[in-house]
Amino acid sequence: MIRIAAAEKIIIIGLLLMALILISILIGNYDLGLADLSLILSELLSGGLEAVGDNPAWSVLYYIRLPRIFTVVLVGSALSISGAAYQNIFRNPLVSPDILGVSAGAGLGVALGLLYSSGSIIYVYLIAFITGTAAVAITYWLSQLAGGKNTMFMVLAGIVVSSLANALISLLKYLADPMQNLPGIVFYLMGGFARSGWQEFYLLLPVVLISLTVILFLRWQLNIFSLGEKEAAALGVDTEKIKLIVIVFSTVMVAAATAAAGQVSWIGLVIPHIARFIVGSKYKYYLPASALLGGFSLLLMDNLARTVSGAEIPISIITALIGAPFFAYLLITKKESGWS
Amino acid sequence: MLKSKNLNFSYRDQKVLRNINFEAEKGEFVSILGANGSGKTTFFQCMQGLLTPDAGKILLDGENIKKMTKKEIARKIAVVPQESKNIFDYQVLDMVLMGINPWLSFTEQPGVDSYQKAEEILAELEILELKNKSFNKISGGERQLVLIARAIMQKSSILFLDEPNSHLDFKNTHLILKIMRELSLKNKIIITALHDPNLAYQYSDRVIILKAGKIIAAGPVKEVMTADNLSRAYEIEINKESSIFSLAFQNSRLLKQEA
Repeated sequence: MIRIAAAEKIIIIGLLLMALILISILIGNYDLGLADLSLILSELLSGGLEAVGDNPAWSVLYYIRLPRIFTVVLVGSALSISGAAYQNIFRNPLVSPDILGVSAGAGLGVALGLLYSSGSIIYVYLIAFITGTAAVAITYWLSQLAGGKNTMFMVLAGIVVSSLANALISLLKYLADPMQNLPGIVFYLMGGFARSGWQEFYLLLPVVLISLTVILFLRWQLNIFSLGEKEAAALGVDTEKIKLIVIVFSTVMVAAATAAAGQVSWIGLVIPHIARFIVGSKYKYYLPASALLGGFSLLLMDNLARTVSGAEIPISIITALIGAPFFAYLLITKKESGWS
Repeated sequence: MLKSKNLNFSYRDQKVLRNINFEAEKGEFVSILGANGSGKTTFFQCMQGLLTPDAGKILLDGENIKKMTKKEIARKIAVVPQESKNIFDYQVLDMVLMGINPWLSFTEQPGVDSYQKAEEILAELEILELKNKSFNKISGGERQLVLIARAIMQKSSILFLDEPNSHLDFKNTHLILKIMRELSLKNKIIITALHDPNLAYQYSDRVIILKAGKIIAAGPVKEVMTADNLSRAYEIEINKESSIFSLAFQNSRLLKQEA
């Protein structure tokens, strides 16, 4: 068998992602073909934006497909990077934004934001970040109270926090005006990219880029961190500092992703596993691979969401339908990898 | 030099260490003996700066360990944990490289010279062929050697080993302790907790015997390791026969009969 180096595998995943982006541009209700794309390109090159303005294919490409595709890729990357980071920080391959309660917490923030902040997207982001951070803090605190090191406690504490947050979301839905607010909250949280425009993209881009950069800078220490806090401390790692930085930046990403796309489950749990399986645990490769694969998978699923039926299927339904069985498969086939 | 003065530690209201005075000089191999629950591991964690004592202080080259950062401590003290598999697997070479961490800045990555050094250490320990293998897939003895290589990579003058042989067979146990002996001859301070008094007797310069968190005997091996002291430590009668310690079983059927 040919051995492919980790760095080369990452390049291959990157190329696959680019190919998928191109394919995604071409699929959808409006029939956009390669001929349209080359026409747009030549118009752009000859006459700039004015020349291309009248072409309906350009409107579809620029105002609908491109912002949506890029937002999907960013949300997928954000969720899997944060999943990868949480798994190392909590030294637990079973945790993810969903399991730690961050997604539900941020979802609660989104619902609150939609109800009480006149729908301004910035406020929705901010409130989602605050409630998401609170959720992960409570999960961590509960698991410490309950027994600390055992990885199972954290999963159980996350279930507690998620249930609470989801109950509060239900309460908000119950209280919301059924004609004006309720449908908005329900569809927002079920997740989807139908409303994604450049605004969502530009809000997400800095959040993901900055967080990814920060976490990548700490890649070496994060490798050591995964050996356990005591062992890492004995190797000179400032464990408290690393934990704080990585949790804050991961949570920022999840909150932003939830504010942009609703509660997208499973990506943050499953993708880091696949990435680790492909390139190994070393953060230098593992993190970029998670980011690219997260973008790739979510884009694939979003393409399904908008093409399988006439009406769009909420993305969380698709991610769960694919993610849950896939995780079951991983559980059964990868018993030896320390999941206890 | 590592020193503790009147060290006291308790978990909640249970006293685990009482007035421990300890000192180790360059080139010394010190073994800590004591029954399960006598406080060996707690003592280790205090001396490594991982637990903060209730009273007393620990001096590392004259400096109070409480005032040192984790990185400063790690430059002087290396800890060799009991071998176990990692949750997330790494290559052997990466595991060894992690030892250079105390010498790197917060966001720095190990450089080419560190990679070379790591390979040299693996070669010295005669396990260079393992460098690209996955740490979880090599044998327990090999893992322990890799962890020792990591401790050497750390360039610290003091090495702590808490029951390093707990998962090792006869050969690997003696191999690891022999390497420790050699390191102590190269001026490192080796501090181990051992379950088997015979191993302590064979390899160390000095022995400290703990019982219920107190030192009941301390000093050079030949003076301290008497059948009497060990009997007190383990609360069972112990005989000494030709420098091998064995339990004094009443029932001779448990012992192998010479033909």
